[in-house]
Amino acid sequence: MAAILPASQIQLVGPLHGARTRTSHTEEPGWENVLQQLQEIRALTDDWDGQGAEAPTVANVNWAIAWVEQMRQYPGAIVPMRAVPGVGGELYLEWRCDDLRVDAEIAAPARVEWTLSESGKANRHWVTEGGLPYFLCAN
Amino acid sequence: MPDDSDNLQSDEALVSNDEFVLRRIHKNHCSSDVPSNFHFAAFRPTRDDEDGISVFRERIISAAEVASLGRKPEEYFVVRLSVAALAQLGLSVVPDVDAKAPAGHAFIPELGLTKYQRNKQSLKDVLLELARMAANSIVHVPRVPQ
Repeated sequence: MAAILPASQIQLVGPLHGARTRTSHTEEPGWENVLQQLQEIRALTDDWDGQGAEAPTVANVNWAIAWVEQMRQYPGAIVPMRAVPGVGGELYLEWRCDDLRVDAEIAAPARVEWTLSESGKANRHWVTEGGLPYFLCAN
Repeated sequence: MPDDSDNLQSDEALVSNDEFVLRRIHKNHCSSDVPSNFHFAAFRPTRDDEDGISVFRERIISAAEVASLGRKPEEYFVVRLSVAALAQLGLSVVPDVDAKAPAGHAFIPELGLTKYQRNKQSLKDVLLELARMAANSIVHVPRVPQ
């Protein structure tokens, strides 16, 4: 696995493959919380915000759920802080660690548009594609 | 010679840098764990925002009125943003000239949908900064829990 996001606190590791090790890590409540948020996002309909938002597509939400389910199998994977509905059919997973923030936008299944923002530094953007997604891991 | 109503109309046609604008944000775009943690999607244009995202001029309409104008009036935060601070991000505020538009309605034309889709990465940086600014600028909170 390759770390493509060198940072002091976290790294982006992937793709997800190879041996998985189920540990008590998978039982952390944060995983269930974010999966519950994704289920709630899947139930949204158009104009869910009363301001003309398009609901996240079922395909995007289902892919995000499958991705999170994969992530939780890996020791060291960081639980997303929250799942957020977008206004144009997309949705987001967000991680925060001190002044570091990582957002994963899912606007199409198997395609993730990443944004890394850190205080005092220019934001970074990149895209990962394919059926084998990445995950954030604590250093 | 123009009367007072003409003066008011000409004043309202221009948005000055010392004004503030109000932006409605749905509660789903705010973290329940950190109440002032807005997601930048709160500023992303929708398919209805070809002319730019909507804001309201505080000198013309109150935050409570802005929330009540939405179709889910009990579910909104309203944040107050300085026009001068928006200008520093390269954003302008243009009054909505549609006679049917709500009082004080205006657009940020740089955040129109097509412009966003064509220049997504750099405008996402702008949205991130708007979300940071909004965190310290809440002037109305939803009535229903998050």
